[in-house]
Amino acid sequence: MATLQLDENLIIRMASNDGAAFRELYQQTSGVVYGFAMSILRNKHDAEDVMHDAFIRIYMGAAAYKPSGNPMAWILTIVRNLCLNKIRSGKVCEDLSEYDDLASPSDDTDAVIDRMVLESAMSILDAEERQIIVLHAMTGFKHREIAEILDLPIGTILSKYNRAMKKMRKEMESKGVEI
Amino acid sequence: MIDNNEIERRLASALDAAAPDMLDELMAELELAEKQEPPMREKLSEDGQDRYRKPVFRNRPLRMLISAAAAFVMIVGGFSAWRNADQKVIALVDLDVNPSVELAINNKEKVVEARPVNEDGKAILAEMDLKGSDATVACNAIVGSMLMKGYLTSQSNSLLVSVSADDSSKGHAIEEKLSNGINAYLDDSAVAAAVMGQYVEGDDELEDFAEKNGISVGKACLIRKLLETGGRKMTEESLTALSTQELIILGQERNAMGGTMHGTANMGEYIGYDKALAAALSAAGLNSSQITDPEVEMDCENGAIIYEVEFRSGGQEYEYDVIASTGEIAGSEKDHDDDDYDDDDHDDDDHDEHGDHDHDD
Repeated sequence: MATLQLDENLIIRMASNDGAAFRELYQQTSGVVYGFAMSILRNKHDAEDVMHDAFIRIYMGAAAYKPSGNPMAWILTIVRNLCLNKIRSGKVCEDLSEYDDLASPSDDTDAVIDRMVLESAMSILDAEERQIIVLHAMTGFKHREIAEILDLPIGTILSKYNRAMKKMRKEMESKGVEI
Repeated sequence: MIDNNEIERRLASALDAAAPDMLDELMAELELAEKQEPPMREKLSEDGQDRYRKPVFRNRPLRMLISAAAAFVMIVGGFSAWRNADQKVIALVDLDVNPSVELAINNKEKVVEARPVNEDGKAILAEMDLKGSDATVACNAIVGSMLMKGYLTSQSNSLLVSVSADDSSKGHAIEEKLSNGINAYLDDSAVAAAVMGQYVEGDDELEDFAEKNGISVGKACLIRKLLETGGRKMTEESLTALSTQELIILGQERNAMGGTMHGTANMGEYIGYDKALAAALSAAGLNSSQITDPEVEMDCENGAIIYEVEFRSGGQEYEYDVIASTGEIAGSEKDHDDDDYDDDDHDDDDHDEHGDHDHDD
């Protein structure tokens, strides 16, 4: 799994209103930002709201960004905070079937399997398991880095990751998916 | 055996495909322009992966508040005139970073008026129409704009929230609510900032002082609190020359807060207490084993933050003013140590230096 390496200079450039830097950052991170928000909120409308607000915050906070060598962790912290805030404020949609509508139907076999994997992850995993495997899948971060972002002990991350993957494999097998 | 990597790859691919395309909307909202590259959708369509991407449009308060279309609000008249002009105003809120702005709030905690206190404040408010907004939302919009314009940065990370109200319990409650709200907003934005909140017991003298110096009443109140801490070097004039961040740092270090405090003001620019003592010892030609009773206190002199270093050695009391940002010695004094001073009539103290010896290094 390749690690998502984000150039810190993009954030420094954004601090001086560099539109091209914002575009580049968006293109490199929009999938992860959305995916991570989905893994927490399990609802596409809420995840879209958070994605929107996160990019505004990222842009507005660029000048205050303290170079740490890991800008992706900073971005994911913003996404997580916004999601938790949304949950705390009680403004999340209760209808969890929303994830069914994540993608339009397609005849493409690959896309159908992708969607099946996503739907399974959303329905059979608990919130922390979802977040861990989504971050692992989309950023390539090590378990230690994921532990820092999610503010959980490394042991919890490892056991939940293994448990989540076991559940996923079992689910795929039960659906007769050969991957 | 189903492969973990394959499950992860497919999960990532499905989420990537489900992510909406809101780049153009965000660029427009942030008023970002650039030489257009081929849009992402076109690039993606080459490999057929864009089928799920849909543009997303929303109408959000944040956008309205930070967009450039809003009207500029300027109130004619000073603080007092404004307060009396509309009886519905129950509290005044000052937000100071370097830009300073003041909000008048009614009993529903909605903004009745917003006015800049200084030139930078004008630039912040020029882009917003805050009238009628909830006070928390308005504060967050102002803070967002300060972040975006680079007034709040990792170096200059302090914000002062001051509330004055006729009803002090209501004023305290508003101060706490707004300080907490701003802190949460900055936390969500992963910005390590210091938010200092204070309730201001306003009086004519304070308002006159603020107006005379072109500063907010909140800043004037903090200056007054600092003067009450009894710093030996600080004067009203030298404190007025300091930035909000410097005042908050002094307040933090001299325990002159007495309100809500979130986070810590960035002191990375300063050499710190230990190095200040070391600089003074080096200037005195002494080492730490030769001195007793070292004391280092943060103070302000001639518009700069200093460390005031004191210690005793060999029957002398030394005092050095060390510039906090550079470690340079700005001034020094050496006196007979009153505790040990040999006050007899014998002429056995030829080498004693009487009186103050000020010198600039």
